[in-house]
Amino acid sequence: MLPVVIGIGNPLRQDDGLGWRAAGLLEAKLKTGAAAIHVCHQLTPEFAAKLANTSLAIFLDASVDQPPGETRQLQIQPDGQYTNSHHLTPQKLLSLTRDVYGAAPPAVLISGGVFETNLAAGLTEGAELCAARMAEMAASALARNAA
Amino acid sequence: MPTYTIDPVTRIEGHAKITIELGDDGQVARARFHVTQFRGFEKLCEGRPFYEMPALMARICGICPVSHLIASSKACDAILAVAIPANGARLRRIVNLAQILQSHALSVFHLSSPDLLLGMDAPPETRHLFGVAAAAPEVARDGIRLRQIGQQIIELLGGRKIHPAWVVPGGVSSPLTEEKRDAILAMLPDGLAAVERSLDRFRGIFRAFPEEIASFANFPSLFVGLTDGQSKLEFYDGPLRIVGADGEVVASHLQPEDYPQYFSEVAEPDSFLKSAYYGKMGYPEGIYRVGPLARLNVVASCGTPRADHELGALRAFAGSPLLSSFHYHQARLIEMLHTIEKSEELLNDLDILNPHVRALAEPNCEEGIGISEAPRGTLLHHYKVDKNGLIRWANLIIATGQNNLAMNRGVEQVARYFVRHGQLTDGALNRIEAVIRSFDPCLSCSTHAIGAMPLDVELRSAGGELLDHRRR
Repeated sequence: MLPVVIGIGNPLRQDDGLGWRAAGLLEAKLKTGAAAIHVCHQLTPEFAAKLANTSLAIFLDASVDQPPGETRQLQIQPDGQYTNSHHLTPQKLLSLTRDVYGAAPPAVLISGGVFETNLAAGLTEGAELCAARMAEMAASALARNAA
Repeated sequence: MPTYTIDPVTRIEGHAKITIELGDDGQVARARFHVTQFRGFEKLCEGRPFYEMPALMARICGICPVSHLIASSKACDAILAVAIPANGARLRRIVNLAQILQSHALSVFHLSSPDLLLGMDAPPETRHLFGVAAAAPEVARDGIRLRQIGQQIIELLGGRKIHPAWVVPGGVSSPLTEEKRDAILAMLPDGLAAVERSLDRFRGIFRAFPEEIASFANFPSLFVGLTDGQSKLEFYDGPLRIVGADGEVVASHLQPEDYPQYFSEVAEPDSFLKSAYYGKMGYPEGIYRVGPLARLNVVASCGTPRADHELGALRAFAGSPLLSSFHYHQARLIEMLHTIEKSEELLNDLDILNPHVRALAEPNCEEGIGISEAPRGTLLHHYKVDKNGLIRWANLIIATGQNNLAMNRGVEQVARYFVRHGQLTDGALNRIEAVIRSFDPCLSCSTHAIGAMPLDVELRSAGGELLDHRRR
């Protein structure tokens, strides 16, 4: 079962595009077919179908709750319910996957602290470095999963 | 006179509130649906080159961007004054059908199935997609799969699921490859099976709501939609038809350029959503409905066998024309079946891989009007350009605005039926929302605004005193 990587964010809001950039850097590192890589502005219920048949889910996201430039990696579990068609967290998506398909995959959330989130394309210099570290962390998680 | 306000309305696309005024006798005297958001795309596009309009207008909505792409591109086709290549039109049809499939799946399964499966009186904290997943995971799986199929078709054709820029003035920007055609065809049997399962499952469920069928915007009105010119269901092109509540054709073979003669809009002081009406009957007597219910009412048949079988069964149960807006849900499922059947037919066309998919030209007209059917109903884009092709003026008539008078009347009908003795129960509150939900309004489109749509209801006395206020 192919691991699934999902980069989340809005690349037109500067560092909110961290997840997309990290996903792109990861894709460039990996051999073709090593993981299914997706990017999205926000998680939707349809991702549950992708997670239903995967050995590992990795979420790459920007964070306003951690210091700028800091990266974090968390093992996450199903938690919470999908009650709003406009907001679904990775944990809620895992809950939906479990409820609809019977089980949720092991999952990791890799986040990076933002510097700026103004209306502009492209990451700040600090976030660019942060995205590279997030891609390295994701690559390591995939390597451990493969082993 | 007491007034209830429901603010914000939930599980719809956008921001709105509802006010309910009670008479001195404690019964509902008046109810109104107010849209409280505004964005104004018609103004911000002024001065932009016409060829930017499809991609710009697609940004109005994250749910139905393809619909705006198509109506906008058709308006631009008229400015170019070109006939687009037959295969360009065929590919536009397929992406429009995929848009309708995914949007209808969202409406039926994600937004309305909690009411239908768990009941209108189920506790609000369980009445959502997770509740459906717990009670009937197979329903949630089918909903997710159907939306996924629609989005994957859009992505395969347009390059991305949301805001694809593949539909352009003059046609589409690239032809279909054999590999993509086969990938889409391979998904369709799965989709067909999911819709047929859903129709079987929901048929009995729909019939278990006699009070809602009786009271959910169940009244005579006009119905408006495109036809293929031969009385079959049409989403992409063809003349507009207006049918009355008795099924008689009121006007037929209307072309896009005829719309100002037939339709008018009025802005009301308590809402950012304009109300459209049939001009010859005036306001508000010219109330009409668009969308799945109306589309099935203006045609004799869908033109595909499985959808026609289901349409026949619905008409045998509910009559024709279908007057209750509760039947929008079943109409959506029938249209989903049709979109899959029709997509298969189009993809098997021998000319579907023809690379000639776009006509190139400079602006040849200073005005263009494009009409197509969006998931929620007839969508019209009207542009005027200067001699350099820069937009001077734009007007959009959106399905939700065309249903505004009917939604308001529906809210009042449901409130009169379910709000009794001045008491706003949770069940009544949810039914007031649910009648709005049956129309599947997209307020982001219709006010060209952005955001989620929570529910807010106020109950006010005859003197304006706030008696009750529910918000969730």
